Amino acid sequence: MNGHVTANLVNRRVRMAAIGWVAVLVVLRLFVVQPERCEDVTAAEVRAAATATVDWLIVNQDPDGRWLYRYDATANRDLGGYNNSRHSGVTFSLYSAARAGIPDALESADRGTGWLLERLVAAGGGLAMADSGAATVPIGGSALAAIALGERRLLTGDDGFDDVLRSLGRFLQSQIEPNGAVAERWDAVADAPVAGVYSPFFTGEAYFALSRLERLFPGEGWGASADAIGRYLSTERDEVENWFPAVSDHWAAYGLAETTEWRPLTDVELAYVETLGGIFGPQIRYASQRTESWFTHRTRGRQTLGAGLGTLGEGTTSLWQVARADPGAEGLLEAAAERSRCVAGLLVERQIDGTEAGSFDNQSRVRGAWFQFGVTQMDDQQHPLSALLRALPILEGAT
Amino acid sequence: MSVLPAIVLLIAAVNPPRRVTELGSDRRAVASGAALTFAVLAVLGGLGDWLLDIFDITAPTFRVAVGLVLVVRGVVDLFRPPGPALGAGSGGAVAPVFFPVLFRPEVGLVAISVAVDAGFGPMAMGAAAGLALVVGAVARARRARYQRALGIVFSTALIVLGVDRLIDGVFAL
Repeated sequence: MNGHVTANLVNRRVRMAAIGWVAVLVVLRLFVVQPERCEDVTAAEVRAAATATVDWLIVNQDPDGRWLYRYDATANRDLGGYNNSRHSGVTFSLYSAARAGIPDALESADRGTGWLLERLVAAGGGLAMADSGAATVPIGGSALAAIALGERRLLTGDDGFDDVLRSLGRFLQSQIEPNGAVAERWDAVADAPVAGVYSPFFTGEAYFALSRLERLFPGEGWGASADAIGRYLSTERDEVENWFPAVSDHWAAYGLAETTEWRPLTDVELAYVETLGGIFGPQIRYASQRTESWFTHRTRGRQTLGAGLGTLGEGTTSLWQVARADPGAEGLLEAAAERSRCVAGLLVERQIDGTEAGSFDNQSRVRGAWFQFGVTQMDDQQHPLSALLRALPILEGAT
Repeated sequence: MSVLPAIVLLIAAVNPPRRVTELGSDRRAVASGAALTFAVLAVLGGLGDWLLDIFDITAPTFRVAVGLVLVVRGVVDLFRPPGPALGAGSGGAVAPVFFPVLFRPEVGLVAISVAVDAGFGPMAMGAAAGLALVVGAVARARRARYQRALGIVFSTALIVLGVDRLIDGVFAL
């Protein structure tokens, strides 16, 4: 091969390689590594956002203790509906806000508790939260009621609801199957669990509730029930109940974090912590790439609900708590903190602030809330509020 | 990522047996080009965290990108024969040795990813080992018959390691 031909060949290869480099980088940027827009936020900004959410819940609470359930901001219309689980969940989030020192959250939560207590009925040897006359009752409201009252107990030290807490716990225990699975519903006629029907989230809620009861009332047997559920969640739930992909279970993460308050996690529980990290992490990275632009709508989809994003933050902040408490999960500490900060930043950025609220007919129903397609639901405030509150220790540099 | 997998990943990304078939026999040019490649990879690795930061990319997401590139490169290398050897005498250390033969997208991206995940040291060791193998192979028997077979082994390893990076990136917290 003469020198001229070789030089031409080299030049051609260099040009082709340069084009290849550019093509690889452009394709990766457009479709694989889009910018992850995790805004840097301070603890003060997160606290302000949480306070705005609490204000939304206070302003939009009825005198009977219920909150505005679903609202269309575009049409300025209350869309009605209600849900016991979400009522208990909001109550829990508000007690958490009160624990974080946010003003007036306790009073609003207590009004919510008043409504909740009126719905307790005898069930499974204890008490369950149920709508009057319902033939079967989902257990989520009861589990979250126990979690909410447990949060109140930690906040106030008031033992006035201890009997109710234990009764809710006994009901939850009655729903546990021998393998640790938790029945989704209670049959009010037969006063028994409805067999073979499971919820993706109620199992984790029952786990968290019973783990909290063990923390509050050690030695009464709550821990054994929590452990049975925890073992089931860690080892077989997704297969037995046919959840695919595996459940993105922030409540299980809460339960694991709560368990570290009274004992170290087992190896299978630590393995489940890793698994949950692998479920929350990619969702957060993906969510952080979503903007309102035409291109990301088509390549990444629309921005997720406030509730959805909030649950991811609840999950990663719980894993951060586990990593901080249990040396076996220490390796997750930095990543859990980074993802939690990311979610907090996204939530602050996407929350309707005072300026944005000015363009709506009813500002008090939009300020401090999260919307998708102009609609918000009470859990769009519940989960972000909890995620923001639980990110505060991370942002404040707790060790 | 620990040290040994980091080194193995970089050596596989360099793919010495396949690179050797694409290079001329001028050992001095190959050694100089390898040294230049190492220097550029060292700079990329040193700037790895900064680069990901300014482009708003997290390490796990970057791992996914690296995994995809490795898989594609491995598959392409498996089914496409190497290009004709480019005589170093026609261009020397910079072209064609450094570019386009040694400094390739998969090598640059892996260097960044390894530096971010495992640290600069393992990245430097892996890059040095991979490039030293290229130089050593050219110095010994660059047309050995087993180069082709070894290239296939390395390309297969690249696919396996790429899938590993991909999975590790997707399911990372």
